[in-house]
Amino acid sequence: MLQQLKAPKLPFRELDLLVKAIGECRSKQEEDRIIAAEVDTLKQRLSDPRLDKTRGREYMVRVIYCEMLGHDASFAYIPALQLASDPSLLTKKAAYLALTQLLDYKHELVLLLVNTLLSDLKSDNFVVVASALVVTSKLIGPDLVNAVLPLVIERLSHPRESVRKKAVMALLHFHQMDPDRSGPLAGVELERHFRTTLCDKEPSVMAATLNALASLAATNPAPFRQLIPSLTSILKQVVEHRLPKAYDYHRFPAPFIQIKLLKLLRLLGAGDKAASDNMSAVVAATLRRAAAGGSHTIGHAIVYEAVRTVTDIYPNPQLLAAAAEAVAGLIKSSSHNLKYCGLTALAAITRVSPKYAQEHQVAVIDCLEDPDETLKLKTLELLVTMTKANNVTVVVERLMAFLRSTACGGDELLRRHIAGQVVSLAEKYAPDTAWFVRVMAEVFEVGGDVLQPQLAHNLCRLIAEQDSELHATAVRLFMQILDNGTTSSGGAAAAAAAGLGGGAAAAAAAAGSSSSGLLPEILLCCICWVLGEYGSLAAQLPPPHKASIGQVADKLCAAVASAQPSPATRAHLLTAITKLAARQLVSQGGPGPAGVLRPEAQDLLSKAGSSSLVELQQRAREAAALLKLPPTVLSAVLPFDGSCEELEPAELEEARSLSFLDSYVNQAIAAGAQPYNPPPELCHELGILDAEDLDSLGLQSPGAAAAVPALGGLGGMGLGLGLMPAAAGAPAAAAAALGQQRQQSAAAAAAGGGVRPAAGTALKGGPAKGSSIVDPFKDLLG
Amino acid sequence: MTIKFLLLVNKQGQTRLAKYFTELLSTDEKRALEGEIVRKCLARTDKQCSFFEHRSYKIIYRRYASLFFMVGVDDDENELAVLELIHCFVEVLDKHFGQVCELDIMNDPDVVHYIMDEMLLNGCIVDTNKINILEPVQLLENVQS
Repeated sequence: MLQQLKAPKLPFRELDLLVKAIGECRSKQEEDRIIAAEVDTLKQRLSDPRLDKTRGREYMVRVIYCEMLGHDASFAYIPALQLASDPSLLTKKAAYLALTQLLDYKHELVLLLVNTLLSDLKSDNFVVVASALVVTSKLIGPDLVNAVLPLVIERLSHPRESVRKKAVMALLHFHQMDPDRSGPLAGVELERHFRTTLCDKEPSVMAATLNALASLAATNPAPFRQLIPSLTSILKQVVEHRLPKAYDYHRFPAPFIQIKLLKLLRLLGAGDKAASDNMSAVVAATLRRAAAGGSHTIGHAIVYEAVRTVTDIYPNPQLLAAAAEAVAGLIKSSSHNLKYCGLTALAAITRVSPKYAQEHQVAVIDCLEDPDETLKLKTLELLVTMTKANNVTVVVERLMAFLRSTACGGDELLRRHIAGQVVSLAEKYAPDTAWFVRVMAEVFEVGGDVLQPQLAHNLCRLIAEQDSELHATAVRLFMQILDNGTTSSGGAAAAAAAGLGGGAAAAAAAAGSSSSGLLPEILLCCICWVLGEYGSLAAQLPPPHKASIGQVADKLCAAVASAQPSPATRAHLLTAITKLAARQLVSQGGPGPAGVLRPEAQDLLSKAGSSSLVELQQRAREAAALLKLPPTVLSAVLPFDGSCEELEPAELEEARSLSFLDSYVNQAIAAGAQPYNPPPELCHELGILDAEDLDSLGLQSPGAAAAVPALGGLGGMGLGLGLMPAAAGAPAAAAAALGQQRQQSAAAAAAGGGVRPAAGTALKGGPAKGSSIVDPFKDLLG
Repeated sequence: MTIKFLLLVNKQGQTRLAKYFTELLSTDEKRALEGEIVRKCLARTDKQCSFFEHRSYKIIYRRYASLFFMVGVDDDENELAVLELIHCFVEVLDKHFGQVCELDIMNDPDVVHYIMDEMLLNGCIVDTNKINILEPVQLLENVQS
């Protein structure tokens, strides 16, 4: 065994002082002061041409300290480069170390290092060669690879294992600089070198090669499958203790090498039955011995790796059974680390062979209750893989509980992940639509800020397609949310409780939950649309949810007002109020004693009518115009539950071209009105102008802008049929267009031409801007 | 190929050693990352796992007296193996310095790096054989520059 030789340390007084000062300082500011002073000293010394090279090592170590404690050390690049060619071994190594800490392979100064490296790679002193190889693995980039490649390959046959294994790693690094061999390594074949070093008599060199093979096989395993016999033979020898004792670790034979081999075999056996068969015996033996080797963590590590291998290669029942048994041991252990790995392994087994999960249900549920959040999360992930139709409600409940908990609080990636899991599970396994709607509302509430807005549209479409029973359920649910501020039944209590714990409330607020009264946008949009469309059903609900249309509108206004909504949400709200008011008008046969709109709603509409945002203004004015229409027209313009109306192709064409308005337009033109002059962009779309004309006008064709603008698409589409994302199906879009034309014309008529019709529809719909108007609809509407 | 960094940070959040493999971060980014990770480690109790996730890394850590040894890996790494790698590293340091302590690491950070270079390169485990690892390092010790 090695002697503990401790050579007397050279007196590096200034370094000692520095270390002492850093060790004793009590605050970051103090440390910064010390290091700043150190940086100044070093700058002076290192730029001095009479630099004492015998102190090279000391200076380099001090430079490393400065960088390690957060200070820029670029002043040291050139001095380090110079010291790297120093004949003193310690100085050279220290300089190399500083360079690898400060630079990376993209840095242009590395070029100046190449000659030193080349000369060191040829050195007689193996320590020098080894050091040069370490630097090569870090600092040589694609541009410089070819300068050093030949020498590195030569070093593969150096007498010292310390050199050979590093040469292998340097080659691996080169491969990673150019994995497809399309750059500097074009035509270079490194694989055959690795095949040679795999058979090196020194296990350490063989082990280094395993790293390289794993990297190569990860992209393309096929050519390496022929190595499986060699690899299984090596693994067999390792587990049978045939390597030198020095490779033992806590009585396990070369455990890290075993793990590497298992990983590599996993890559090669995946999806290939023949390959997997060739390795099953050895993998089984490895698993067995590791499990029997006593209770050290490293033994468990081998077991864990073996189980992962078993689950990833072609399924083999005996192996899977053995793996499941091993995993049982891990999960039932009292160590959290082992439980964690056991859960991961169980998830992997379950994907291949679901029956094993059942046996361990109790142990798994226990883990769910564990106070360790990391473990809880792992268990949830496992549950997700185990989810089927018969347990989806339970699993989703657990996931939602986790999502609501403060553990999830600030970690946005985690919340997005969990919320996404809930959504996908709900979509795949929902037992019925009502449950689905409730869950989606819940996940919008708790995780709304990390979900895609598209999901709101999907949910609304789904609701629209259902029957009136579901509509009523949805209305009830959303009314409840508005009342309580949350979807959970203990809503009010939860909000109060959260308010007490400052941290919890902050976390909850940050998570966008409603316990602070703010509903996420995505949820508000849904609520607005559903209540706008079906809010009249609230009158038929049993108490306490029973509400008149006016009350529904009130609730909506209040909720939106308190949530500081974006313009999009406010636009949805305007539409919803309009629809509700229209419905009321239609059912009452005219304005009731309380007027058309409730005060808050009226207020909102007037404010929006003078808003600087065009979308809001447009909707408000259209609303005002629409609500003046008699109920019969109104019920045609805004049909109840009409969002899923299917249209015939002929109707679609009529909607697109507005041909039903032709006679009126012609009448008007005959009476002297000017035809509408569409804006240039529209002319291009209709083929009247071509692209060059547009360019010369400095305009773009709107036809290419297929994406619906953020505020819900062509102005006023919202009025007819609710949310209309770009992905909406043809019937809905066409119906929207139809509804829009109706209301565009109606609006134009009613407002006496004051409203300028939106681009894209107005070709026939209305009179020219600002010219004297003949009202073509005067007779129709009386 | 999946170990991204190895950090030694003490309980006060002072970095004693930092080795980054294949991750190209600026000095500021590295120091910020180290601070974040050690804070998370400090907040964990004994009853919890030695692993947690931080940004795109999984962190595996072990505490020895006043020092946290923290390794950041890719997603698909064997956590138990990394735990033992840390322990193996500490055993090697112990063998070299004799009852290694934080001060030893502070006084000879370059030697600690050289030891690490014998064990880990480009984020892969190269060797865990203590004799192989320490022989070149011992030779350095005997060289008086």
